[in-house]
Amino acid sequence: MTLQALAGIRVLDLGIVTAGAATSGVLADLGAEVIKIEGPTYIDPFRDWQGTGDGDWWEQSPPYRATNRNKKSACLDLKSPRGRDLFLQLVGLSDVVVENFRVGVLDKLGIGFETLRQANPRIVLASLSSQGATGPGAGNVSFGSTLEASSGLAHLTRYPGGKPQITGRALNYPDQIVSMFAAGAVMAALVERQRTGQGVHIDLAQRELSSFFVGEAFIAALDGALPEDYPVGPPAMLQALSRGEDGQWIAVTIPASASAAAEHLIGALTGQALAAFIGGRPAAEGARALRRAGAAAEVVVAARDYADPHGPAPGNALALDDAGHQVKGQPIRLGGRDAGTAAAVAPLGRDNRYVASGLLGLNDAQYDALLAEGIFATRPRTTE
Amino acid sequence: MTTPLGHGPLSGLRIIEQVGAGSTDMGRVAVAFAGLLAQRFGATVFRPADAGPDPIMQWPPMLADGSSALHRFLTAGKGPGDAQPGDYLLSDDPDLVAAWSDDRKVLIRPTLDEARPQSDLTVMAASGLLDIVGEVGRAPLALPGYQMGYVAGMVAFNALLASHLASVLGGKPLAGEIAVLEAARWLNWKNLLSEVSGQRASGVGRAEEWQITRCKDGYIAPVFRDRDMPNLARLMREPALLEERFATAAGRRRNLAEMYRLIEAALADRMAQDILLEAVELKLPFAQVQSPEQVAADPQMQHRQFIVEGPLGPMPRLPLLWNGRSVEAWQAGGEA
Repeated sequence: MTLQALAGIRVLDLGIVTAGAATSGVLADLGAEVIKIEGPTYIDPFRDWQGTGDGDWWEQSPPYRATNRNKKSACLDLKSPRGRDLFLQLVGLSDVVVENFRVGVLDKLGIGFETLRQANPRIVLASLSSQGATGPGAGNVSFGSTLEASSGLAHLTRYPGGKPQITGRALNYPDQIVSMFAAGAVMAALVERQRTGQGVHIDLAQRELSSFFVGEAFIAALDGALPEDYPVGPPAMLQALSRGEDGQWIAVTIPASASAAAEHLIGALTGQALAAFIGGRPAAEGARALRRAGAAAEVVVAARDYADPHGPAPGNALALDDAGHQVKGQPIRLGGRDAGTAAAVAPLGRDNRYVASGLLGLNDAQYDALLAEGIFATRPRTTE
Repeated sequence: MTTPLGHGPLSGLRIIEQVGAGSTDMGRVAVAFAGLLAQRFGATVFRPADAGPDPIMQWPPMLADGSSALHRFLTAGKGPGDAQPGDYLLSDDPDLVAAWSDDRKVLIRPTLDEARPQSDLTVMAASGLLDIVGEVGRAPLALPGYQMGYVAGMVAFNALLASHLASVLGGKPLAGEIAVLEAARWLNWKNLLSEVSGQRASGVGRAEEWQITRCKDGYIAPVFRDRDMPNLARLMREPALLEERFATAAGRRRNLAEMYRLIEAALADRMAQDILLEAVELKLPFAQVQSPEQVAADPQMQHRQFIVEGPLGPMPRLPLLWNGRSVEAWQAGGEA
C-alpha cells in the first residue's frame, strides 16, 4: 500500500545510498511509480552494507532494503549506447528523474539535463549533490560528517567550551533531512509543470540544506549576535537533562504554564532541585510525575529499546514490508490513513520485462537479445 | 501591510498559517517552518492578524536591535490576511483543523498515539535522537536550534504538497496529518533498524571511526576508508597509521583511541587550510568545522549566493537552484 496521492507519476530513480534513493522512496510512499535503475557494472553501493543472509549478496542489505521499498527494479547499462537510448526513451514516458551521482557524471553518461529535456520537455530532474552543481567546490565529495562540519551544524553542537560534535554514521543527519526536502522540491516542480507545461532542473546542495536548518543562526551570526550557548527549542522556565537513581537520563522541559505545579513538585525551578528530585527515584517514575504536573518529560530512549518488544513502538518510523522485513516508514498521513505495509524491495532487474515490454514496447525476442548482450541484466557483472 | 503575492513554483497557492488555543511552542515553530518553505517556493502565506502577540518574537537568538533572528527567518514574506475558499490551512491546533471547511488542511501533532506534552528536547529523548551525540558519563547533546520543529514543518509541507498535487492531477485534496515524534523517529530509522535487526550496538559511546579532531586554529572532520590509509599516513606524517591494526574499519574501531592519539598529535601544530589543501591533493575529502560566519564567507557559498539580502537584512535562500537560479531571484525578477 502507498498513500496514492502521486498516482500516475512515474519516477526514474538513479539515486544511490541514502540521499537520492530515499528521495525516491518518499515519492514511492506517496504513490508514485518509482523504477530504480542500476547498471550491471554499478549497482547501488548501499547493497554492500551489513548484508548477512543467504543468497545473492547484493540482495541482503537491511538499509538497502529499507530505503528501496515500494519500488520497481530495472538493471540497464547506461554506459552502453543502446542502454542510454533505451533510458532516454523511458525519460520520454516519465515525469521525474532523481540522481545523486557526483557532479558531472550524468553529463559523462550523456544524459545531462539538456539531453533529458530534448527527450521530454516536461521532465523534472532532481540532482542532489554535496555542494551544488556550480561553484569552485562543485566537484567535492562529502559525507554526513563533513556536511555537518561545513554547514555550521557541528559548530553549534557542543558542550560548553568543548569541541564540536557530529551525529556520525549512526544518523548522518544531513542525509536524512535531504530526502524529505528533495521530495518536496520535486512535488513543487510537478505543481509548477501542471501550470507551465515545462520541466525543471532542481540543483540541490546538501551543504546549503544543512545550513538552512540553522538559518536563524546565520541571521544572528551576520548580525554579530550568535550566542555562545546555542538554544535547543523555544525558551522554557526550566529545561534540563538529569539522571534518575537507576542511571537513566530524562529530558525535562517545564513551560510557564506548568511552572507552579512543577515548582510545587520539585521544590524550586532550578536545575539543582530538578536533579535532586529525579535522582531520588527511577527515571520513568520521575518523568511520569513531571508530566502529571504539566511538564514535558521523557526518558532518553536508546535505539536498542526499540528492539525490545515491550519497549516503545516505532510508530511510522519503521514499517513492515510484505515479506515481513522492517523497512523505513513514512510519517505523512493523508485522508486519515498511513502508508501501510510496503511492497518489499525488488530483486535486481526484476522489472526489466515490464520496462522493456510494458513501457518500451519491445517483444520477448528483443528483450532476450538485450539481456544476452548485457544491456539488461539481473545480476551485477562485477561479481562474476 | 499586505502579504506579497507569491511568485515561483507554487504561485497561486494560498495558505493560512494559524495557531490557536490548542497550539504548543514546538508546534508554532513547525507550523511557521512549513509556511516558510511554502512561501519560499512561491505560495502566498498568511498569518492571521487576530491570532494575538506572536511569542516567537521573543525567542532566541536575539539580534542587536532586540528582535528575534528566529522570527525574522520564519516570517519573512508572510503577512496578515483572511481565509478564502480554496485556501489551505496549516495548524497545530486540533480544534482549528477540525473546524476547517474542507480537506485542504494539515494538522501537526506532538505525537500520534498519546496526548502528552512535548518539547524539542523531549521529542529527541523519546525518538532515540538524544542517544547519538555526546560523551559517556555526561548528559547527551541535543541537535541545535529548532530541529524538531523544522523537521516536522518540512514533513507537514510535504503532506500539504502531496494533497495539493493530488488535486492538481485530477483527484481530491486529502487532509494531512503528521506528528513531530513520528517525524523524529523517521529521521532515526537507520539507528533503529540496526538495533531492531540486531546488526550492531549504537548510541552514545559507540565506536565512530570519523571524529572531529582539533588542529592549530580550529577543528577538522577527517574522512577515510581502507584504501585511503596510505594517504592518511602521508598527510599525518605518521607511519604507524600503516600498521595492520588500522588497515580495516573493524581494526580501526578496535583501536580508535590510539589512532586518534596519533592523528591529534599530527594535526596539533598545523593550520586547517594547510591540512585541507594537502588532503585535497591526496584525495581525502576532509572538511573544516566552520561557524555560520565562516560558512557564509566560504567561496563556494558566496559563488552560489547562499545568503541573499532581504528587506530586513541578510537571509539564507532556499537551498536549491531552479533551472540554475535561486527561487528568490526569480521572485524578485532578477538573476542569481
